[in-house]
Amino acid sequence: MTVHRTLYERSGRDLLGTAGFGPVATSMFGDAPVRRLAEALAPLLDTDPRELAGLHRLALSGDETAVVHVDAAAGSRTDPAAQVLSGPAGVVTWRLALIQPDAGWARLAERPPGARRVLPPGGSALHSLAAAGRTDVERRAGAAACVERTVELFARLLEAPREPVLAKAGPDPVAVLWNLFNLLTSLAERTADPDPATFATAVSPRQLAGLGAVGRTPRIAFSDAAATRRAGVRARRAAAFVTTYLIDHGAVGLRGLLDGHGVLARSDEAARADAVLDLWGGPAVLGFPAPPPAEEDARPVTPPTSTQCPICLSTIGLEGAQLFQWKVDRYQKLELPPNLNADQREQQLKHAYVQCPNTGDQQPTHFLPRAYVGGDPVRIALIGASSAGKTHLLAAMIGAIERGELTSVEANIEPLDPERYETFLLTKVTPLLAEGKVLRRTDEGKMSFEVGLLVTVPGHAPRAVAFFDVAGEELSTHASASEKTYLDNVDALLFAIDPDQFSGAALGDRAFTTVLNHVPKTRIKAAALVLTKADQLRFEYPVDKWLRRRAAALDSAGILEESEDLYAYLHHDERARPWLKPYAEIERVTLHVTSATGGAKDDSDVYPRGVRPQRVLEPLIALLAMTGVLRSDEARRVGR
Amino acid sequence: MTQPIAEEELRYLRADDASVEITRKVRHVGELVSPPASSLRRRLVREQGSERLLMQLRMPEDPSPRERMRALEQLDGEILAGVRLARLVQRSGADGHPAVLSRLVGYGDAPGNPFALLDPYIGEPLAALLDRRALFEDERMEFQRGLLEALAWTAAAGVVHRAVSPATVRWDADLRRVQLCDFSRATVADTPRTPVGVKPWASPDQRDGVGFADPRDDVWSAGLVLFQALHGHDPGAFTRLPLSEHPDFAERYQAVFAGTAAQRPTAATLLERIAPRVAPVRVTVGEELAKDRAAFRRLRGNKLGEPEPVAGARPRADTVPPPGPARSQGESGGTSGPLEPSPPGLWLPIGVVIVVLAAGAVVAYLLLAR
Repeated sequence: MTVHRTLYERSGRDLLGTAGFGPVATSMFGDAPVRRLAEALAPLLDTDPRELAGLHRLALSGDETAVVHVDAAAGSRTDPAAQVLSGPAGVVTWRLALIQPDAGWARLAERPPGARRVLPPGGSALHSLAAAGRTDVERRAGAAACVERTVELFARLLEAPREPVLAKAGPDPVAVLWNLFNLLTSLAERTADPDPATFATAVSPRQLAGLGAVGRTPRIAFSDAAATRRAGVRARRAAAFVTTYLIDHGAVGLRGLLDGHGVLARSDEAARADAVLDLWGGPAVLGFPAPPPAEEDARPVTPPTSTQCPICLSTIGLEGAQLFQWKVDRYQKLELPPNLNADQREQQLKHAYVQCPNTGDQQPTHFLPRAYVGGDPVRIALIGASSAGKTHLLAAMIGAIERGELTSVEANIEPLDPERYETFLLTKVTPLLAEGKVLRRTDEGKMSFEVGLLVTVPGHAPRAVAFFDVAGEELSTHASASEKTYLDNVDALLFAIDPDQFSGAALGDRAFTTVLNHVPKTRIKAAALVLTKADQLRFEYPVDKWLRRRAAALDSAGILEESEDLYAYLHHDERARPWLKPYAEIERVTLHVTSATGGAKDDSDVYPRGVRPQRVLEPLIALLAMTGVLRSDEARRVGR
Repeated sequence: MTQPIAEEELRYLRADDASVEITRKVRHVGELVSPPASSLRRRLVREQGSERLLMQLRMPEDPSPRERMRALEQLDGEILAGVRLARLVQRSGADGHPAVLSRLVGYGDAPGNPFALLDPYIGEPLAALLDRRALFEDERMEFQRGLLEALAWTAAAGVVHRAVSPATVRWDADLRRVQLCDFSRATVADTPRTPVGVKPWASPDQRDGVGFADPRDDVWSAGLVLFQALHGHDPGAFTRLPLSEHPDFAERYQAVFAGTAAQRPTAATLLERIAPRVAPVRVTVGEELAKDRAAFRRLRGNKLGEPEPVAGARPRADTVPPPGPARSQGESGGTSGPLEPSPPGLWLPIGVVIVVLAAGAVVAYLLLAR
């Protein structure tokens, strides 16, 4: 079967002898096939052409498919031109339709003035620009907005694999369709009857009804009139993971993943969708958490009434909870006047706190921002021997944030619990940075909450980031049940590599081994291996270079370069090699050179060089990127 | 120089191998005059046992906080450059430390008492020499060759001296040798520039502190030193160098005064121009980590599901181009040498197959011969 092209325009008399918007030139012979095509496309093309600008792929009879491209720019807004490619579904594929750039469509629309007969599109006409188009659409498909939209829609497809999806057109619908059909075809790999990849990037309710009446409802259609629907959290989690995997590894990589996890062994798409939900829909996924709902999905519904405390894992209920406000140096009860209007009330609630019930009483009294409730916390455990410099590193990090040095990422950072944050500033940050004092070591065998941040990336819900200090050598024997529960719920690990510990007999940091043996690897989203006290190695290549560098922006290539340099340096020294174990065991890992103080202390516990932290924010930025708190394309590449 | 005043025990790490700590008693021989811009004190000591003379750079007495920081930075620069050069020279297999560079012997890194130990410099600063006389005709080629060779070494080590001038370039008239000294302003190539140095000696981008430190920052400064040494003009006396009056120099050192480092030739290129027979420096910093980098890439590739890492797929921002023209790169394995894993050992299986086939043929022949 040949691929044909047919051009539509408004005319006084088209190929079928009628006036209006109809076929004016074709490569098909005789009236009958033109008439059949026109009848099949009538629900789409026999309406007001002004509604049509966009790209559509519809099933025709038998194995035939038509791709319809309506170019509003070809004529005036009221007189668009359309072109139809029709032929075997295996030739007129969804890929061909989506990768054809504007120049490609323009070339397919060429014809001599007034000619009613055009040549069928040869291979060169179809594919000459396709390579460039493919590169372009693949690039666009990885944009953050496009990925988020893909996740929303794929989540709905996972929940109801047989249902057509009708949604409002978001950003770059072509690139979103590219992602969705890559996901769907991967999921339908080797099934007997895969669903047709039909779509419409812009349809009116009337067109959709017409297509439905003749059994040609597109699998995915975008319409401004579509109602807002949102998939459940489970589906969004799974969709986020699978979509991210597609972006990072391509369709071939994704099919490998699905095959490796037995998804493709299931018989049909519905069973496979269930398998995907089971595998990656739970809270402990190795990947990104589901993105927050897009604006259109932000339903004015009752907000979540409970959440898990990132500090003590208690469940915090909002229903009837006493609200507090932070005033100067303490929490005070917040009573909302009854006569507030909705805006005023919202403004007051924005800065309100709730007290955590602190079930189990393992932590001191603490409060959480009400705005955080319902959020997805990130718990980061700092692992290392008690003398590894974890406390100094964390204090230097918070100090750098306080000094406004975290300008390289677009995020607003606030204290999670102002009271405990103030305590941390007073007991750790100020003594180290302002007074040059040596901080007390972490108690052996303890896991303690240190400090929490509320990180808000513009356009996204705030995320709580809580840091725990783990002196893990003795943890396996000394830890309480609640501390072990904490470890089970950690999302990311920061391993502090202490160069003082390198020795010929060393097997690595026992804390590393204890924690690696204990934590569920599938839960851990990321890890940062941090060479603390790097000032001691400041004359060693390549540590000397990295201590002199400053990160200007979130730079995944730079992080990879630093990771490779530091890995090579530690790997080269047999005494240090055991400290690299986490890199092999955890999927996303970055390596960093840091110095919390900029120099060693002397015998009287004074830092003669003063305290000048170096590169302490880089591990934090990498962890925020790898745990999905930062959400740019660049962030997604970190640690891979 | 004053009379010996004291003895002390120094514990220091060897510059070419920081895992070796040495404890030696030294006898103070005398204080040396420090250059005006230096915050460090210089003392000549004699090491007991070997009886060799060493120069100790150390912190000033009771410095102000500002002086202390400046002195610490200068000491760090001296040690950083000395360590990189010492290890590069060791790996190069060179017959001893190049005389064209001052040599760091070791350093003490105790927070309260850091110091550096160097071989005493040779000769005298060029500035002092030029106050008395110009370079003799038969000294000029050696001076040029030596200075460019020194910069070829620093470039290979990924070190930018940042203070090349008649005060830091020395000439020993007896030995007929040049020596590049005082690395207290040195930094690592490819790190962000900070404003260092003044007109005319520091290059414009180095003075402005924009972009990334580049070994060719030193080429600008060396060009001026050479111009003054060869033609006697003080570059500070001109708003524009009278290069047209010295067409030979202008041709030989073409583009050394280009506005940006990227436009200037490397020291190795210049060396090739003036002394093509001088053996180029064949090693670069970081080459020793090539296998370890390959291990990283292999592991990362496994995580990403890639069967083999793509060697050299990502250009290395920190790689200092090996000094020397294409000839020397080719001979030393080119740019792929330090970073890429060795070519896969295809010859081993091929050799095994050949041996097996040959053995089979011999056995068959013997059987048939019976």
